[in-house]
Amino acid sequence: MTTPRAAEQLVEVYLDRLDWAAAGLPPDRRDDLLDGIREHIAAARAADGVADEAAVRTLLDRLGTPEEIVAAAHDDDSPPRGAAPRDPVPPEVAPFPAPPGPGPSGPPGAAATLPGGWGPVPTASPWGPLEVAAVVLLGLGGCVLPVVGTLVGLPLAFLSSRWSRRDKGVAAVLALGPAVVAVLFVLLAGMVA
Amino acid sequence: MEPGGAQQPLSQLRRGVLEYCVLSLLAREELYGFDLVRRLAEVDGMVITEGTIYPLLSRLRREGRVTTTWVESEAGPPRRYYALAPAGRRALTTFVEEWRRFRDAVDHLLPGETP
Repeated sequence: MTTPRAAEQLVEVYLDRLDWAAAGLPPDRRDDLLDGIREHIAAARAADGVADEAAVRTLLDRLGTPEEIVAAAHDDDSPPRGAAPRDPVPPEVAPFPAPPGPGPSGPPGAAATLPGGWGPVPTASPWGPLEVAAVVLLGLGGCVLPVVGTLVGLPLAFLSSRWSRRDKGVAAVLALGPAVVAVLFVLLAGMVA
Repeated sequence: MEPGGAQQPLSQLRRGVLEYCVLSLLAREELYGFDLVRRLAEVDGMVITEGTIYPLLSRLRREGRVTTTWVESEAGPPRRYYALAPAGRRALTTFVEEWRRFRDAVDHLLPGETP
């Protein structure tokens, strides 16, 4: 049961949960937070020689739940710092749950249900003019002007300050995936012929 | 994790003081995130959840109180080293003076060891 694979999966599930929970943060801060935690986990595993599931679980317990970390991030920028009246109720955050075997255990609603007392979550809309233009160019433009639409749309998507790196990655795969498949298909057909 | 009562004011206090503890550690030497977090965690009562340091580090960087550089690591991926910036040093100096005064005032008023 104590396989390296299970340990990797624990880390992946944890980082996925963190990514979900951090959806309300500005994308650059979300990326920054994920980079920091990912680096911490890698460094801790290298330093302590952590490979098995139990040790990884301890490591993640010490980090705190993704929701706790994101709550700290929201709390940290509630201006003016230290002056705002705070809710006296301590945040009730569930301890890191044991992932039930395979499959993601991250609660999809985690981003919307931050513990009480942290105030409204400043959720920036991911849709600005730039993002709409990028999606229209990638979707419609890709059909009407197959090459130009994609070539213009993708840089637009990557210029977005509202989308995180993951969002941009999804846009790139969706836009370029069919083209790559088509090219592979043509190449294969050429080889067969 | 902290069941209200006397723990609540302490957690507020800790939250306010933590960033100066970070700056103080960085005043001695540059550290990468994991090292910094573990040194804070070694001090009893300073850090409850290690992960919550990272949003703080992120803010200190945005405020220009610390700087970061990527350094290649002999084992594993490159590491981000944190260093104290001049603005961070000034903030730390100011805080240390205020803290000493505050600490003496509280010690003076609270019952216990002080005469």
